[in-house]
Formats: sequence, C-alpha cells, structure tokens
Amino acid sequence: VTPAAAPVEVTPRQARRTSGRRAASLAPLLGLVPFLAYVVIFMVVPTINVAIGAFQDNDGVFTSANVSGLFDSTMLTTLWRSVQVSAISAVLGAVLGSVLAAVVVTAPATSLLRRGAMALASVFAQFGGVTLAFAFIATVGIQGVATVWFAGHGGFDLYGDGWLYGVRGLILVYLYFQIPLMVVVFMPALEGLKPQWREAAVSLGASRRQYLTQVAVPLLRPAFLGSVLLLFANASPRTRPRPPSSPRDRSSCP
Amino acid sequence: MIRAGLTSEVLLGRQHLAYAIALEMIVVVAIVMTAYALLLRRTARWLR
Repeated sequence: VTPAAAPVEVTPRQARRTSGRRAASLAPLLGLVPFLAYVVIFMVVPTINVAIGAFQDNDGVFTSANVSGLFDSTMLTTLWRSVQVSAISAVLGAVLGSVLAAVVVTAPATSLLRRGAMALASVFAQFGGVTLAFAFIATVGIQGVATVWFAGHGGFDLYGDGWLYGVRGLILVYLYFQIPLMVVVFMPALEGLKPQWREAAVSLGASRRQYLTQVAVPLLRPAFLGSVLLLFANASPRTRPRPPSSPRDRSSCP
Repeated sequence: MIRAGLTSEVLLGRQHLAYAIALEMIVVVAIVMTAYALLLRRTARWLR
C-alpha cells in the first residue's frame, strides 16, 4: 500500500513565477489583437448584419419575403450571369496566369525580371472597383485615350459596338486582376517542382513531354484547381449584373 | 445591384432585398471555399 501523497505547498514566490510565465506565454498573442479587431469590425459584424437584415422588412419585423424574392426569374438570371462571368474569368485567368507564372519562374529568384513581375502581380491583383472601371473607360471607352488615338491614326474604331460594357468587356476587365492573382497564388506550386524530379524522369528515359504530362501536370493539378476556385471566389462577389429590365443594366463594374 | 438595392434606387421600398442578395453571394463564396478546403485536404495526402 502506497502512502497518500502529501499536499504540495506552493510558496508565494513560486506562484508569482508561474503567473509570470503564463503572462509571458500570452504576450505574443497580443500581436494578434489588431488583426482580430480588424476581422471582427470589417468581416464578422457586416456578415451578421447582412444575415439578420436579409430576414427583416423595412420595419425590422421578421420576414422571409426577401429570401423568397431571390428565386424570382430576374434574380436567378442575374445570379446565373454573375456565375458565368466569374467562371469564365476564373478559368481564363488561371490558364493565362499559370503560363505567365511558368515563364517567370524560369528566371533566377534574385533576377530583376522575377522580382519586378512578382511585385507588379501583387499590386495588380488588388486593383479593382471603381478605379479599375474608370481606368478602362478612360482608355477604351467611347472617348478613351486609346479609342481617340486609334481613330486618329488609321481610323480604327476601337470602341466598336460598346463591347466594353457587355460581358466581353467585363471579362476583360476581370482578367486584369485575375491573371496577376493567379501568378501570385500559383508561383509557390511551380517553385515546389524540384529539379531532381525532372532529372530522375530524364535518367529513366522520359521525354520532355512525358515529364510534363506524367510528372509535372499531376503534381500541379491540385494547386491549379485550388487556384481556379480561389479566382472564382475572388470574382463572384464583385459582380452582380443588373436585371435586363433595369434602365442602367450597362453600368455593372467590378 | 446590391448598391442599387441598398440605396433603394431601383426597387423602391425593398431595401432589405439587398441584404438577401448579399447573403446569397456570401453563401456562394462559402460553398466555393468549402470546396477549396476539401480539395486541399484531399490533395494534401497525394502530395505528402
């Protein structure tokens, strides 16, 4: 029979030391406070506000009329257009962005080309909203700089039938930030392709095409698909074309 | 459209419809991000 363990007495000095260690371990978490505050103020609170407001009428009384109104044919049409624009811009952006990333990754990590391309991609990936819409309108709009220049030098009508304000124009504008975003998110996957894998495939007799189709592409496929989803999520909340009956159905901007 | 709804520019008296549309987009993004998380979880095993 083992004797019962005697209660361990903690001296005030030991208690102070323990609490001091706890405080020291919590200190690094203080750095997270501004970020958490930012997330709560700009993400959590608006989301809750939207979720509650969706089920209220103008007097603040609970109603499901707003949500059931989303199944109206006009609303479903606008949702479908939004998904279309997002999907097309995501796939095109992913394909073109991955090709661009594959070109950039061939440059040495410290080269000016690579550092410059990554810096530009990081900036352009965040470019959007009214400023981007204005940039395109001021460039290729009906009185845009490029439109006027082409009209004066050869008489080429760049504005055409107003394609900039249609789906084609919207997709072009979206590609302006989708391609750089793809470069940013896909570059780490390309950098993860080890030269040893290529050497191993070549030493086993694989051709360049076999290496690409049987080694590189399968390895990059998950990252590529994930990037497409990220691009789709990036594009989808930015657009919500107006219903066709709206008098301003050409004023959608990213 | 969400902005127009919030300012009641097109659909007079239906300001809260804009909240419903915004909620719809949140749901769309949530679905996509869930698919992204599932894809990452599944492919992490392949790439290990």
